[in-house]
Amino acid sequence: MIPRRFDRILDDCLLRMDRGESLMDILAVYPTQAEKIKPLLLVAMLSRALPQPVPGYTALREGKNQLLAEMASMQAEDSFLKPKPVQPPRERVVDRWIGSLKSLQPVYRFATLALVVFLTGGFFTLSASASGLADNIMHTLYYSFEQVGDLLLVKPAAPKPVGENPIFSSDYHLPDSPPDYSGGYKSLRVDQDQKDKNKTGQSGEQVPAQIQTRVYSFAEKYNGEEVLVEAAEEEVELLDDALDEGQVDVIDDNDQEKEEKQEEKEAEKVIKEEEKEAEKVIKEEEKEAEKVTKEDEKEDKKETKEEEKDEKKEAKE
Amino acid sequence: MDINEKALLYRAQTGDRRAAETLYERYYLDIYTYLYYRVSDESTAEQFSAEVFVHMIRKLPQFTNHKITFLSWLYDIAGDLVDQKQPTYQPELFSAAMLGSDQDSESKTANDCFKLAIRHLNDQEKRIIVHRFVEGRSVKDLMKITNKSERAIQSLQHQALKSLQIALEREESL
Repeated sequence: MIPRRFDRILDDCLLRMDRGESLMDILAVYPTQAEKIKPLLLVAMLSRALPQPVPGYTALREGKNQLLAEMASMQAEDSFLKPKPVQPPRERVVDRWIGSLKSLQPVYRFATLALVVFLTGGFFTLSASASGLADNIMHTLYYSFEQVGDLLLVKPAAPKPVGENPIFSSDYHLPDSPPDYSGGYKSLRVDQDQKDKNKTGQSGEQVPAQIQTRVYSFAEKYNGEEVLVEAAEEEVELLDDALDEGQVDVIDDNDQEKEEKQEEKEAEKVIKEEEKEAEKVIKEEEKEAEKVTKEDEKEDKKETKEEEKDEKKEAKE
Repeated sequence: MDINEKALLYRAQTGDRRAAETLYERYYLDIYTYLYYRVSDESTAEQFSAEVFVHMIRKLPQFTNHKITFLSWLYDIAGDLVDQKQPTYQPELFSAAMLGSDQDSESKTANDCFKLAIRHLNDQEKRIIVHRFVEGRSVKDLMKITNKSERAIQSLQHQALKSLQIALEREESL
């Protein structure tokens, strides 16, 4: 049985021979197999050196004539395959479009082509100008295009500043039915500083305690973004009701701080407990190690004693 | 098999003379070379080559197996033809006639030795020697022609070279 590995080595040698490497170079690559490879490579070289046989021209002509004669007899017998009917190729969309363009008058044809070129060119120009720098003309082009877009497109109304909010305006009236705070007002934020300010008021006079406790700023959602809005005095009662009924969540900054402190304490406790457990484990391991060493020492002593006894016995014998 | 050859074959299958002539001109030399080293005689190789293409055109309407190449199919036809015409081969009978009347056994050239030696190989070994070394085809080409794996081709070429080496030593000693 010939090993497969040798087949591969021989094939590699033949490939090297194809590339034009000399026999000595090839054998040097596989010095251990050189004795086996050399005669085979010589045979391959001899085979390669053989001239290609050239057929005679008359024989070539005669062979072709025989072939054509056979074809003629086969055609008489009708033994060839019958050719399939050739189907016309399907018309592509582009071809159809070009065809319809050709049917137009030259003026319309030119106008259509100009429109296509303008739109395509405009699209690519705008795409390229999006990354233009401020000084670049492309940037100016893109900026002006954006301005035109702003003029043409209707954007949703931006949130008004706190002072301009209708809640704080003098002609603001509470609705007859209480508003649904669960939808509009997502949360109430108790602002301790704001409360202190309100205690004294902006002009310095004292504010009644009832109002003091009930002045809040609350988070409202404008276009998906949370904005802090101060509650109007007229809304305080409604907000109280909403709070009592649990329609809104109160976010107290003080509560948040307390929670954070508690979490920190808990985390410290956990770390301390883990450290204690780790110390316990280390101590136990050290004790076990000491036990093992003591036992080993005892066993060694026993063995030495037994060996001494045996030696003494042998000496006596 | 590329698209052009498929189209050419289809045209020949439907009786197109030009397509059949193109196939003949494209593959004649390959078949002739193979037959020349198989039968070791020029006139016999020419005669057999013509017959191979007659057989080819007869069988062509049934050639639908595109897993093997057309050339591989032609080689199979040529091999079958030689087996039919020369079923019992005796190499000793051919040597003197092959080398020509003027040459005696002492003035054998390397080519003549090769011609004589290759007759001692079996059909598979001959095919490998002719395709790989005489025609200079690559292992990948041989994989397509013989429909065998790379390992099988590597093993076969080793075996063929070994057999040819033994046969050459034998012929040189004679």
